[in-house]
Amino acid sequence: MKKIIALIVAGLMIAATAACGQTSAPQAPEAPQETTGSGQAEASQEATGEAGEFDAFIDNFTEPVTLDVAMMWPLNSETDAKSFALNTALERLARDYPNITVNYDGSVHDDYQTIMMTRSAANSIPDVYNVKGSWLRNFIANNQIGTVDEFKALDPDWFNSMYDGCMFDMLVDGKHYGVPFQLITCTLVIYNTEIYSSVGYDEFPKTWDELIDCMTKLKDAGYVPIGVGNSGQWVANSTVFGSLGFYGGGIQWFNDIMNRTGNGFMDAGMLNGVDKMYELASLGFFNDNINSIDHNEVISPYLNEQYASYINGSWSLGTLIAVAGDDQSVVDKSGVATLPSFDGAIGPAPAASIGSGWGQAYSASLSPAEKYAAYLLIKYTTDEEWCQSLFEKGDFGAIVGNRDYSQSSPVVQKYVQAYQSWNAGPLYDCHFDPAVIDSMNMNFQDILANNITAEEWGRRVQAEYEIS
Amino acid sequence: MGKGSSAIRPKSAILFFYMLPGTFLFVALAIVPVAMAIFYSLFNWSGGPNMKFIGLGNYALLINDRIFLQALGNNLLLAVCCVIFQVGTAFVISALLCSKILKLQAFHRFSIFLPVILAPVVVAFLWRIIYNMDYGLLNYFLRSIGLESWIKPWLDDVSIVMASVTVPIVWQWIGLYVIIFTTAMKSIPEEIFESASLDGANGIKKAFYITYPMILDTLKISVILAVSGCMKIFEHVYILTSGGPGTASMVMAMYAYRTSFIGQRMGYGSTISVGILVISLSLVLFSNLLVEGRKKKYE
Amino acid sequence: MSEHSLIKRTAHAAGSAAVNVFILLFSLFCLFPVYWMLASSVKNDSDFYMNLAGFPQTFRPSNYLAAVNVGRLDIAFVNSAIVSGIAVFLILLISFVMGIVFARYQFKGKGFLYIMFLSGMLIPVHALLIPIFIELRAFSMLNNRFALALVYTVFGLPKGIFLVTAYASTIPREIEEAVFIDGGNIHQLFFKIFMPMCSPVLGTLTILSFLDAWNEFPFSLILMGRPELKTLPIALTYFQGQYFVEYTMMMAGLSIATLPVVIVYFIFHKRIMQGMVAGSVKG
Repeated sequence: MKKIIALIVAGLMIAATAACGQTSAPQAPEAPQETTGSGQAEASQEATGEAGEFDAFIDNFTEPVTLDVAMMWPLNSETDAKSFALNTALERLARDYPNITVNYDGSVHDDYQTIMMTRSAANSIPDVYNVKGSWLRNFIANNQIGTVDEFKALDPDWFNSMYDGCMFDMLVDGKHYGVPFQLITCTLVIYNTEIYSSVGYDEFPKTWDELIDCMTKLKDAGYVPIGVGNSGQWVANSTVFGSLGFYGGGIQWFNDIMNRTGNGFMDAGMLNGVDKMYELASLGFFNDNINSIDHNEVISPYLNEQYASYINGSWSLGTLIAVAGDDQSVVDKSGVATLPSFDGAIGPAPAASIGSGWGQAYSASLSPAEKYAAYLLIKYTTDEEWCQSLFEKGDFGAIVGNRDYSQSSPVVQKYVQAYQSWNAGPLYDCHFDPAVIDSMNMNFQDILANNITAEEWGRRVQAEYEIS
Repeated sequence: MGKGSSAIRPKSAILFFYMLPGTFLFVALAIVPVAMAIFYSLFNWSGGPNMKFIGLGNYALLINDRIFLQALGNNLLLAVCCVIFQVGTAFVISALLCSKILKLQAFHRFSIFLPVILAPVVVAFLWRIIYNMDYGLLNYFLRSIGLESWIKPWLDDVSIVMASVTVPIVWQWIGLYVIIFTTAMKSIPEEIFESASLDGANGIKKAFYITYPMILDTLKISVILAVSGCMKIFEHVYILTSGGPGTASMVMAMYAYRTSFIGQRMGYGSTISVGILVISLSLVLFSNLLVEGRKKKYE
Repeated sequence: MSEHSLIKRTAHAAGSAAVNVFILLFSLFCLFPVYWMLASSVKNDSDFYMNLAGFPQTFRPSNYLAAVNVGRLDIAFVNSAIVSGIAVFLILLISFVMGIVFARYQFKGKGFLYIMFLSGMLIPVHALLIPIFIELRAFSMLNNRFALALVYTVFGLPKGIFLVTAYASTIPREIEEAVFIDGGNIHQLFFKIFMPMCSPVLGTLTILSFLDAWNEFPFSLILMGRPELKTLPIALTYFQGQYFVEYTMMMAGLSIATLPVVIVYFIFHKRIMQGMVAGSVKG
């Protein structure tokens, strides 16, 4: 009986939602034509006409506005580059627009995820917040996020200066829903050039066979060839599969997943990439505790020269330099590379996942004045000055710009040189469905433990992909 | 629980007045939210106003879900280990603490209870570092006593990871049951032990034939506390392994959390949680029956 | 003295020595990780890596200063104390009253109500984050210390009622009769007679519910959306996220979370233990 009542109540709820005219079921995504970016110029044009609603504020914005802001950076961190840049940006905003009051709630990444999922579920989204690429479709379907293309006309120079690959992560069905606040390369190999030279490699191996040879020699010499810290589970996906999967499946596979065409996770080319990850693990080239240490915990053994190299994103460079402290000798002799391609690969090489993953977004239910304030806050936390603040602390915003690298650590200079010459691949975990990503991540741990084959990995993720 | 009504019974109105605030709070902040969770479990829901009713579809998925079944197995294993090693060890230690054999009793009480006061998060972080392959206390200890071959990445080996996760959980709560048991044991009249000693009973016999039956109620409470704690264990697993490698150390609460808050499938996540509640409730009622049955045998 | 009893006494002594050694090892096993945490928290990195288990050769209290500054632990400390204080008071009061009623009186629906509360111990809290957030928002009770304390109370009640009920049902029946013959009323019976008799179990409950409230994480995370309202476990994450890679700093953060309860425990443990033991009613 109770069940029947529950069913009836549930039925009424459905009817009510339908009556409100909510659109569910996001449209099929637009396929990117190239590796990254492009096709965005036309995407944002349609929005330019809407700037009219802000006309009243442009020269005289004094109306008091309070913004409820939640982001994944605590304000009083002493070492975090984003915290530093955010403090600077909020001070600037308070100086320029004293009418805006910002109620800021900062948390750390994992907790921010919990908070935002709760607030999204409860339909109580903050006014301005950090959005992850993979959240966009759901937030759009629930009308919880507004398009930032509406801000383009207010300051085209600012809007257009964003790096294409970063804007791509915020693009859904031809519209941008966030302004990227960072530029990250997810698949970096940081290696100790001295140790590599000692086994006969003056530069990082350029082919898969060379890589296997080099790793074997490093292992025989008593080093851990490549350190990876995958206890967070997203790490293997982001930092290893980002390159290997792109070599194996090319952009075609990515587009197939986004459009729900092709063989999905049973795609033979992409699975080649997974198999390469399996191969590296089975040959014992990774650290034994790959699944139980954090992505930052590889740094100490690397600095102690127990690891010949490690794989992590560009975000680890700042940590590497900070942890090394007074003794920068290992950092100074570090090289920056990306994993080589392999036989049968169809993606371009060398390649790395480059983008932003995240952006600054605003709630769809803001009044015009609040929206204008949101625009200002979003601009102040993404613009050239933001990027410069980040750069001072060893991090990168989404505007490439001309920076003075003379004060930077050699490893940062090498990174900047390197990533600009690589082909940019997509950040899979910022575009796919979150449940599919979690399944990929969970099963990558099994691949790294050599528990399952690439094919079994594909079958398991495919099952999740078909449900979602 | 009380047997039979009291001879002097207060007015129903007064009892009602005593029961009301607690019941009201509990209904408002536990029962209503659970009902909401049950409601969500009938939907395909990724948060927000968009909800798609699918009836019992999520439950059909749940009973065939490989990961959920594995997690359930891990929870049960954990519960068995906790009952045997946590409650069992605590019983033995308490019996010793109540005897005259043991020296340094105050010190033992202090140190055995110490882990209980730590936050589960602190315990988990601490053990994460203890298990660390290169800088962990465990491998350091093995190396210093010449057992180099035993050195392992304790949280990476699929075959032992559940054991590695279980140890800190058992370790943390033994002290709690020691306190509960010693309190109960001290309330056993001294005369019973004295007459048993005159009859020639030794310590073990006394523990088994006097202490055990006398504190059976307490034992029952402890088993229920331990089992219910194990069925919803979360923090330790979250910090030590997040359920990995793969799903080797997945527990149900961890899986529910990941499904809802990382996979963004709030409907199915609620289904898993309802599953946890139903399974643990039947388990506790069952273990209650079991202990109750054994008690009859002794009476 | 007969040879037989001599052997028996020697065996007995050997047995008791073995038992003592075993328990001592177990005690150290409980103590050592905590010692390790405290010792490592004041070491510098090289002292930590070179002298892993040893007594600190260096002393670097700056680890602690950094932890306090980054996490604003001073504010968080006060918040935690307020929320835990309210929650413990309510849990004790409500569980005591309800536990006595459950243990000693019959009424309609008692079995159902008892099972309902008991099942509260089994609810996986993450399932309730979203419902409780929605509910408290509807009553404008987000960002409210008292509301958080109410949530803690509700999740502390099942354990409390369970323990008090079990304990109170061992109190002899005659007590009630004696009180009523002396002309006492029910309130006096509850608070003048039963309450002192239940002091051991209330003592245990105080510690357990305080620890649960002090250490609680997920509800505090989602219900306290303002920096000035954060509780200690949340504030600590700021620190952990930042210094994850530096074990000595991590240890300092963990120690700070733990020290207040360790100190309170250290001061009061004798009284707690004595209270539990001395207060327990005989038979």
